[in-house]
Amino acid sequence: MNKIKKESGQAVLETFVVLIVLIPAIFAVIQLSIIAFGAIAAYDAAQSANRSAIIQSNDNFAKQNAALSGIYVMSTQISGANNIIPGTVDTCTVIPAGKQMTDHEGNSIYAYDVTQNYLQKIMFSSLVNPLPGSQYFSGGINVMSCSANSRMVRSPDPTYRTKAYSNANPW
Amino acid sequence: MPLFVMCIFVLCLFWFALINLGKLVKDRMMMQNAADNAAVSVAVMRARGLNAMGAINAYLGLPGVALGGNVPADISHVIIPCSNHGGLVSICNCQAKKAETMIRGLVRLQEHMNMTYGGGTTQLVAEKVARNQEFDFQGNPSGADGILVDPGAFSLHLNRNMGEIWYWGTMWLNIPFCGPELFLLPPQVKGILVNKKDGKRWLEQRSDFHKQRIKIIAYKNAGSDSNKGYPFAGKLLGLGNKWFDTRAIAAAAAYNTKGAMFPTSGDGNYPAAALIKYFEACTGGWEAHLVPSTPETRH
Repeated sequence: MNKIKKESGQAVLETFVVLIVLIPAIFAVIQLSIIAFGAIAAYDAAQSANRSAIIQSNDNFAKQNAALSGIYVMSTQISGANNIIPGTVDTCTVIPAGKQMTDHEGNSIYAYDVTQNYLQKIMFSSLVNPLPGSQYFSGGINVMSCSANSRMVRSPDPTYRTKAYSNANPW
Repeated sequence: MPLFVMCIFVLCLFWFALINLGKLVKDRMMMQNAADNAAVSVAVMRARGLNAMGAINAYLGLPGVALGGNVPADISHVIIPCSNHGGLVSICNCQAKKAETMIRGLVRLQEHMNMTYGGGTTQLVAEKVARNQEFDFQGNPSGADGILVDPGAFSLHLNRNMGEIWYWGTMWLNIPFCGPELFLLPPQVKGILVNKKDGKRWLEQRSDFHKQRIKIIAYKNAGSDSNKGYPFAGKLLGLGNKWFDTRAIAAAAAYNTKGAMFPTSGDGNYPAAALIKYFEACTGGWEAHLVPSTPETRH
């Protein structure tokens, strides 16, 4: 009788101890899955935005179309998920491999570097990191600022994106 | 224990969903690369073909030694005098025969290049590039299943100009004390006359020559070998056994900043047109780049 009495709270205690470890672990895995999904969607959006930018006739069109494509792809990928918020699309001109190169006609070869920004909501951020002030997982702010990047060399000659040679009809 | 199982179950569902989403998005990105690379490969093949055939066309456009001496427009005169073979009268067409052999050879070379770069080989290259965009862990291609193009899309849009070709013969008169005298003989007397039906001359632009853009749709069907096993845990996630078809579109074009390199059928009325058109455009040369697949999508 005494033996039974001594073990009466053991199961509850064990469950409690296990849950203290297990529940945070489960939520951490769920959170990581959502973060990974956000990253996958953002890389897809960045690539699509860049793909759109490299065939435009000038930098302004490239920026406009990259922004439209990025937001469109990001929005459709995450449709229904309210814990990923699409942000801006930054497009800038860069020199590939950090080396100024030219084609055989002497035109410089450029690439577009497109960054798809987005905000990732964090569950229980104060539990993950209770200390405020750091960039990620800050205690008081439950969003994480993220970005995905893509870089492609742009099509070289804007004049010939609608026709084959100088006096040709469009395609 | 039931709580533990339930927690693990929820956890696994998230993992499975992530695996499926990852595969889907990865396939989408890979397929876009496959379509882009296939389209650029076709445009590069096209540019190479046009550059090589343009150089041969320039030779065919030379007056006198080749077919560019077309006066009137539908008769090309090839005039290469034979050497003096001695005797009082030396009548010969050996140089005409050599010229005919060489010109026929160059025309055949162009025809073979046209078949290679403007047809089957280019299609094979495009398909292979799209298929080999990715490999599975056994080393088998797991990129696109194939490509779709418009009928006649690989054509280089060139026609053969046809006309009579007169390979002139030669007569030497070796009159004592007067020195040798050279006379050219028309092919009706000595030489080779090729009639218009067989007289293949230079290449010229077809009416659709300006359409140098090629659109390629790379496809990967739901039932593709590389999709086996997906959707991962589909029944558990309510997706069933049906995976998704993936399609990606891209367009690329050959372009030349200096000109078309080949004469139009109207240009062919003037002597040396093929030669002149080549020299106008050869400094630019044909190149290839990605272009928007349609003006509306700007993609």
